[in-house]
Amino acid sequence: MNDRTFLKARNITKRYGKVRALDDVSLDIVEGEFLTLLGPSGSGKTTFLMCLAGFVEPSEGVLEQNGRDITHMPAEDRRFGMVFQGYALFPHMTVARNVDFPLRVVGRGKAERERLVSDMLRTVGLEGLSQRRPSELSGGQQQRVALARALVYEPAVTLLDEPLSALDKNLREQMQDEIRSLHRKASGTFVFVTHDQTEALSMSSRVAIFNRGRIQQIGTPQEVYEKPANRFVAQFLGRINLVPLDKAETNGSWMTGSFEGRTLVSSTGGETIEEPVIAVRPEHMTLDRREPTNDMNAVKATVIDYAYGGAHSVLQLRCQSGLELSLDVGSADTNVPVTPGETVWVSWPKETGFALSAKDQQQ
Amino acid sequence: MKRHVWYWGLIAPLPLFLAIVYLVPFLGVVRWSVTEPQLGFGNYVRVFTDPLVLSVLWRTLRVCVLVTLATTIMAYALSYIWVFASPPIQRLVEFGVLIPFWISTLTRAFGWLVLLYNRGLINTGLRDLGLIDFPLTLVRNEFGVVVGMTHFLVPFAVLPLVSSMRHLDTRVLTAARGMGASRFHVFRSVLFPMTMPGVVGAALITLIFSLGFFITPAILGGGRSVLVAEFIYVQIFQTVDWGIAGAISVVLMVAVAALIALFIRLTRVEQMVG
Ligand SMILES: Nc1ncnc2c1ncn2[C@@H]1O[C@H](COP(=O)(O)OP(=O)(O)OP(=O)(O)O)[C@@H](O)[C@H]1O
Ligand SMILES: [Mg+2]
Repeated sequence: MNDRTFLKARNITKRYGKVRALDDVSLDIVEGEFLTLLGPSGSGKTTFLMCLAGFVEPSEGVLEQNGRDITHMPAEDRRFGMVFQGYALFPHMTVARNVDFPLRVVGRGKAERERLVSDMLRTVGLEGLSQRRPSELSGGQQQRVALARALVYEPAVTLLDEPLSALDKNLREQMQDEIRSLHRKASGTFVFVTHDQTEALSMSSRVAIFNRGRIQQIGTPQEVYEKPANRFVAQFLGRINLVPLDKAETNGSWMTGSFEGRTLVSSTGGETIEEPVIAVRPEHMTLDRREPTNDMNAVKATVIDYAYGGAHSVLQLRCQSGLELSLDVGSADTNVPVTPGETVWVSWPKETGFALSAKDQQQ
Repeated sequence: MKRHVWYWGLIAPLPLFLAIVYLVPFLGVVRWSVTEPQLGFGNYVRVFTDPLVLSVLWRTLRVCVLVTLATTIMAYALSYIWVFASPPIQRLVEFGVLIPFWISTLTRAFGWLVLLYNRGLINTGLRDLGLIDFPLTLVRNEFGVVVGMTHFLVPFAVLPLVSSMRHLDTRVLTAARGMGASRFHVFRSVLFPMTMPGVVGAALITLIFSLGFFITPAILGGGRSVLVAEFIYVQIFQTVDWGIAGAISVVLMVAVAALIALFIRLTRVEQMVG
């Protein structure tokens, strides 16, 4: 990734009465990247996007575009591309007129406008539908009109607020691919909002995770998924097992402690952690009938439930201390005991677990 | 089956009542128009040839169109504020729009008389300020009639407009702003076209109501700018020319019915499209 910071948000806070919709948010947006804002409902994603677009003025903080302060610049002067949740197409205009609107606003010539609109409609695959009204289109087609309208004037940045949340699963996946390919073709900067973690991980070059108006972590999908900064991020990005450690000691980048009398080791950032737990993704754990002899972390547990899920099935287990674990197992894997009540060993490589604090904020 | 009888038994008095108090008298009026003073369509020929009747019809049309324009424009502005302004201002407008419904036509017309009269508040005020030497003729003419009727009709026009603005997705306006459109451009190419059904509805309602206005133009026109309803009244009670009164009534009735049909048709189409 290059280092050309294009938009820079510094200590942005937005208050609505006593509610802090955004709380000291700082974020650099790099030119050409696909940045996703991910977080639960009410975490401030839309508010942040609206601050970027200029529809909401921050209570505190500074927003810079290429080093220039644009905190108080009105939206119509920023002219960032925007795809709203629910699309916000003009219902009284045809598809072509919708896409033409931003070009008309700046008074581009007629011939140029016609060329740009028809090129754009071809890019999003709507060339045959240019004379229809939005109400005569399917959800996915409306979505594409909204994208075309946001991209046609080549805005400095395109902001997309949960553009796919209204679509069914198949169409959603198809549109994810299309948005990514549009991003490559347009070679612009995209800021994309979603509360779907799978979507965020598969589409983005970087993910910023929001909770309660604060950014919890920013990083590549792999970084935030495999090395979450705190318990909230770890749990928000997917199922995770948290194994509490007793008498934990940190030694360089490794932490050692005990659980039910067994010694467990995990990677750590090096800082001291209050009430440490080892966090392990279900897909990193494996099952054995006998105690493993290699130097993996291992704990003993009883099978309590098995949920078949096609390619991967989910196994629920309970340790002696009452801690419940969740495991992914390949359905084709025949050595797996699936009878509830059976006692098994669960193990995972030391480097796949990471130490977190159980006290970290949690939704 | 039995329940049906019940329903009809309960509902029947209403249509019966309406038939007796509206339909029967109207048929009587239709009869006058073709029998007084003699059998034939002479009265209808007079409606469209008699210069006096024609001048009343033209004046009515002119006044009503002016009233419709003024009412719709004012109602649009009020509705916009009612829907989009801050809550305290919204409440103020709501109050201002709904209060007139509780005040009688007569009171409102006399209220305007007090304001617009030669020695009324406006004229004495302007004279005291030294802005005019002679009183302005603000009443007993078409101007006074238009003012009074507009004031009466604005609240009726506000309701369909407010409803069309309430149903508008405001993100559409935000989107237009975000693409760089000025406030005026947003109004002209997004807000106004999108609220067009409300505008048409408000204008038609105003026009339909205004055609039959009687008390307000009678008081504020002061017998000088007589509209069609007052003219019919005069033909019946003063000149006792029931034939021409009946013919004008029928023409007015047909015009209003046509407008109502148009209104229903447009609102239906609107429902089908939207
Ligand atoms: N105009 C407003 N007035 C008052 N509070 C607001 C306003 N807009 C947002 N908030 C509050 O700010 C917080 C953040 O809202 P925001 O819309 O940014 O959340 P979000 O992350 O986009 O959620 P979602 O996923 O549900 O869209 C919420 O608690 C919300 O109630
Ligand atoms: Mg939102």
